[in-house]
Amino acid sequence: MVAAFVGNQTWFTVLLVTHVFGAIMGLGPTFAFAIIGPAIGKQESPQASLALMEIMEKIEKGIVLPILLIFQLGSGILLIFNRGLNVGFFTSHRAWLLAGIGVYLAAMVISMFIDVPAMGRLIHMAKGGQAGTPEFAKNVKITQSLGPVLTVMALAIMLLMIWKPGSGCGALLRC
Amino acid sequence: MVYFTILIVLHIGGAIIGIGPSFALGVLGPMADKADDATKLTLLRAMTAINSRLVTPVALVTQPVTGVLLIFERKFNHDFFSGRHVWLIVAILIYIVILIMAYLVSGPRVRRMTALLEAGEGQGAEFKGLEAASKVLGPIFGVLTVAIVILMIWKPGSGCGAFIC
Repeated sequence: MVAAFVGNQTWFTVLLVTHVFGAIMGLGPTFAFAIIGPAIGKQESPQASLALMEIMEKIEKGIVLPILLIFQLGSGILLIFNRGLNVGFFTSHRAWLLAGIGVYLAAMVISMFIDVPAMGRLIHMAKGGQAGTPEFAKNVKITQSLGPVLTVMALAIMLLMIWKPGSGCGALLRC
Repeated sequence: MVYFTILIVLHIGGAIIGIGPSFALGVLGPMADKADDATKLTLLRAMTAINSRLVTPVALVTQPVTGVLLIFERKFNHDFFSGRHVWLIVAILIYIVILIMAYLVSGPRVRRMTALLEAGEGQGAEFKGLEAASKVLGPIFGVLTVAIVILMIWKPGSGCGAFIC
């Protein structure tokens, strides 16, 4: 069964469609944060700011994290085995893949354990009328500084996964 | 090969950065639906900003330009209207349909909805009608986008499979 899966073209097509579509649907909405985030502080009413914060949290928890944690991870691992990339996994030919996975793991940890909880605290405090407190400002600073970091990480993953530098295969080619 | 790598990075990157955020609208829309008028206006403005600053530049410039250049770089322009290129022709046609729907049907409606909310007419019959229409258009955009992604990766009938020919 495993032998039939390795190198199988139909599986490869299904997995690649899932993986690329997952990147578009899971990674893509995070780029909207660069527009929604700065708009939060410019709203006339606290309700409007709160609505934008809730939207960011909903996009993150409802679309981004489920897709990146389930579809991307699952299809990514299966693609590694389908393409035989598990053979010589820790060689320099696979440095692009190792770096991509490393950046992905770091981004997931930052997002799940620092960024999303900080946004949750902001929403909770805004609802409780604590929007002007030092604690609120501290959490705003956390989300504001992590936003660009996560964007750069997303761009790095994208570049590594498409270009595959050092693989000897070039972009999307047969190896 | 260098040109191809640059073009494919820009084309797939464009799909992620420019088309991907449109899926965020699938969250913003239903949330706006349940919100009061003031919040609805904020969310509509956010949707317009995402559209005009991220989706539109990529959909109207990056994707068509890199797409056309990829067609020539991969020599798909030879026998363009042959059976092997049906996947590409269909995808381009769907793309054109999306652009027409987005800029001639959906765009003016969203602008009108924003104007109505700004005028305090968010509970009027006209707004409700526009809101109902946008609920129908949203999923259609989603399905058409999924169809393009599948065609572009799978390339059915090309004889290449998911690889670049």
